[in-house]
Formats: sequence, structure tokens, C-alpha cells
Amino acid sequence: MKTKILTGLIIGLTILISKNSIAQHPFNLDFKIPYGNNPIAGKYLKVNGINLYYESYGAGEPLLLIHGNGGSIINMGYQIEYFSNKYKVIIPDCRGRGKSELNTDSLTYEQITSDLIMLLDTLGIDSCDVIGWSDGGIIGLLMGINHPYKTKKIIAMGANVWHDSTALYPWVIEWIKTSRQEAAKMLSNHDTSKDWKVIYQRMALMDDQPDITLTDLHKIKSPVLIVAGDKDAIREEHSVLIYQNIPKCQLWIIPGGTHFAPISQHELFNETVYRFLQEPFNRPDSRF
Amino acid sequence: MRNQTLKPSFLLLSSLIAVCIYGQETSNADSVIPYGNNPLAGHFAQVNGIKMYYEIYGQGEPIVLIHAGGGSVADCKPQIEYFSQHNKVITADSRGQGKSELNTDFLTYRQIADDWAELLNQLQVDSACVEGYSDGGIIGLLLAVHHPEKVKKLAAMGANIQSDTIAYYPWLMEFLEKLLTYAETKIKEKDTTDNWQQYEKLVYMWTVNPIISVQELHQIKCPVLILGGDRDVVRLEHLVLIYRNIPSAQLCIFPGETHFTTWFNPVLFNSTVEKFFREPFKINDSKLLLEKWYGFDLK
Repeated sequence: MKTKILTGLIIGLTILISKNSIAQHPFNLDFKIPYGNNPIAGKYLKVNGINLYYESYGAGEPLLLIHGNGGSIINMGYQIEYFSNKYKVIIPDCRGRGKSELNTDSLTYEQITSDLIMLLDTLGIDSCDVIGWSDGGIIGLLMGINHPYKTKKIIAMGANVWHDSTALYPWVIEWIKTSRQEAAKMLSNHDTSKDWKVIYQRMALMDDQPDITLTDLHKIKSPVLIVAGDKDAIREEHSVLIYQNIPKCQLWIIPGGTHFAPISQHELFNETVYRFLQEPFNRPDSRF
Repeated sequence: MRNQTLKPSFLLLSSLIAVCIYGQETSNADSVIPYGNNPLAGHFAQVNGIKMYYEIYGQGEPIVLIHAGGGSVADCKPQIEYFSQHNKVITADSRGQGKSELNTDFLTYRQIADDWAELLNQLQVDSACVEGYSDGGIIGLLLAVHHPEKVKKLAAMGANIQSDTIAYYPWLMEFLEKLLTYAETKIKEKDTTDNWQQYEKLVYMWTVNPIISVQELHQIKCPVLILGGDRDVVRLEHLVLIYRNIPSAQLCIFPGETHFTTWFNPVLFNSTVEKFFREPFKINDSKLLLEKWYGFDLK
């Protein structure tokens, strides 16, 4: 599998370099099952005025997976593959992404969180474990803050609780602002080559939000695993700060890891997360 | 070091660890090797005016293991057993600890690092992968700064570059002060139950050293893996600072682990370090991947 990814990466790179006009996804996301577009596992649900698309796989204790800003269900294919043997995996396309409708002019993390809470309510799920990646990690933390009865354990990979340069590296902020401007320009030019309305909303979401306070983090009752690569988009100091302000928390910084570890290091990621989910939460200290 | 500092309680802790580690093997007499006190593997070298004790195990590319402060070769057992399967493991007692002589009035990390470099010279080891735990990690960093030719790669677990509450949690500073007072009292009382003179030199070093600047870290040429538990004795912010100031570095924070991961979770610790030593070093970059990911999306 690793060689497959590597080959995919190399091919992707070569194509990108040789033909700049053809963009290639940087990762291999070919799965046997068509995650994100699977009529057997997919359903629609009317929540908060939108049609929300979700898929579910496997049986057992419920586990909610939440993808990142520029993603959709398929981006967490490696997690679906691994965890659907062990849990009942529920994974939605978050508002405006994949097959789920946007239907808002001002997308917020709170709104997406509310959508997912309604999804769980409708499915009759009282509480579940949550794995969130990037924006999905932020939503996971918001679920823990605002709906503490809904979350058992939360894993937040590459999440930030605010959006300035103490949380994100300057290159991330610059890139978000540039992309937002580009989407705004395309919208005003009435360009229809992409769904610029959604892209603009997504970029604005990252540019203006979240605004979670440390006091908010103190409210989280669930055990949380904060995860980040040592070369993430999120500053290591920020991940440390989040970790220090959640009462029951562990921190995992992945050596040689990036913001994309759930794909590029999926074996290590899944195994470590599974251990956290399985083992009783434990908080050993060096202090004797 | 911080771990080992408290002599009375530490002895308790180390015997607990010894029970954990050795207990499993009592049924198999062949596997009980007296690490740290093994005539079959142990030698003395004359190094910088002291007799320095070292042991060698296994064959292959050399890997150097440096124990924590107040410890000895014996503490490296889980790492010796793991790495000696495929490598030549060189491990020693640092100056003033284990079987190695002190022979100084003022012990410093720099001096200890110079001893290790000289030992490697005498053993004709040009360069090696170095794993250092706690004080051993500090010594590893100083080896990489001052003897760059000796270090191919460095894995430093629970290391700090200064001794204050910026680097440590306050409880540890208080604890070190208590240890120092304890040792000084024993010396005044002319207590002979232990070598308190030697012990005092070591504890004093912990309270005033190390003093390594970020500029020194900038000079490090080799790839370095900075490791820590998420509840280490070294502050996480300090580990991030060290990581950030070494040009070719990776950072590993173990979830749900302490300063004592080397002993309490050797499987996780050893495999992480082994992977770092084995794989070609590269710094992965979220920026490039993010641009490609969204390039796919935007273009």
C-alpha cells in the first residue's frame, strides 16, 4: 500500500510539474468500496434546512468520523476501512461538501456541529466516539464543549481553536486569504468552472473562525486525544496549549508527520487512535 | 537524571522497574545478563583523566546508548536487548556514575560529553547513531554540537537545554533543591552510607546545568529526533523550542506517557527510535501537500 501511495505521489508530482494545468490529487484514495458515493451505505437526511448525506458501515458501538475543510467522505477512506470492522462507522459529508447541500451565506463551525448532533439524534445515537480531522477536529471539540453528553472519546487531528498566527503558521493564513480572494474574484466574474460559492464559504470559515476559548476547552468532559504532525499546518505550541486546557487529555505529536497523517501515515494513525479508544483513559504523570 | 535524582525514592522506583524488567525473565536463566556489571562485556578505558566503564553487545552498525543522570549501563537494559539484535551497542557509565570515576570538583555536561567522544575515539568508532535518555539526551545534544563528526543521528528523550522553570515544571526544581540540601546535610553529618561527596557534585550539576543556547542548537548538522512523554518532567513548550532550533529535526510526543517511557513502554520507545535510525531522514511538509490538495480543488 505504501509503495502505491508513493507511486501515486511521484506520478502526481510528475504530472503537476510537466503539465501545470492538470491538477492531480496528491494522495492515492482508491478503495475497493466507493466511499462517499456508495448507494448501499449512503442516505440523505433533512437537518437544519439541508439535505445531509451520510454513509454508515459496520456494526457495533457507534463511531462518528468528521472530514476536513476541503474534504468529503472519501478522504477518510482509510479510517472507514480500518474502523468499520470494529465499530458502526457513521460519516457525513459536512454541509456544502460532497453530496450535502450548503444553503447558507455564512457557514459556521457551530452550524456544522448542530447538523451532526441532529444526525446522531435522528439515528437514535445517545453518545459516540468521534474522530475529527482538521475542521472535523474543531467540530469534534465543539461537540465536546456544547453537547458533552453526546461524545464518549474525542480524537482531534490537526485542529485549531482560534485562527491567528499564534495558532496557524503564517503561510497557512496567507494561503487562506489568497484563496478566499480568488474565490471572491471568480464569483464576481460569474465563473462557473467550480462551485465558487462553496469554496468562498469554506475559505471564509477558516479565515474568520473558530473562536473557541480556553475556558470553553475546560468544559470538555470526554477524554480527548490531540494529534498533530511535527510539520503540521497548526503550530506545535498551539496543539500543546489545547492539550493543556482540556481536563482529560493526551497529546500525540507524530515525528515526520504532516497535517495529512490520516492518509499518509494511516496505519500508525489508525492503530494509535484505536488504542486510545480501546484502553481505559489513563493519565500517568512523571511526578513521583 | 531528574528521574533518578531523588535518591531514597528513586531507589525504590528503580527496584520497582528492576522487578518489572527482570521479573519476566527469572524463569529463563540464559537471558539474565547482569547489564552494568557484566565481566563478559565490560571494560575500562582511560579517558580524560578518569577510568570510564563501558560495555559492548552485538554486532553491526554501532549504536551508542547514554543513560540518564544518576543511573548506569544497567538502566539501558530494554534498549540494549532490543538494539543489540541487529547492531553493535556501545554503552557506558558517565563520569561519576556507575563504575566510572568522578575525579573533578565541578562536574559538567560538557565534560561528560567530551568523555564519551574520547571513548568513541579509543573504540575507533568514527560516527554512530546515538540514543540518549534524560541526562543522556543532553549529553547527546552536546556531542552533536561539539563533536559533530561522531554523531550520525541523535534521538534525545526528555532532554532540556537549561535548568529552570522555563524548562522544567516547578515541582522538579523544588525537588532538585531538596536533593541538594539532603546531600549537603549528609556530608555535614559525615555520613558514610553513600558517597555523598560524589552525589553532591552530580546534584549540583542538575541545579545549574545544562546551559545550551539555541545558537548552539543551530549548529547541529545531524538529524535529531526530540522525544518526550506528554507528561514529561520537561515542559512540552521547551521540547518544542529545542525541536524548532535544530535544523534537521523531528518531534515525537508520546500520548499518555511520562519521562519514563524508555522503561515503562520500551516497545513503543524502541520501535520509534529504531524507525528514525533506519529510515532516510526527511522533513515532511504540510505546505506543499496542502497546496497540492487544494490546487486539485481550486484549479
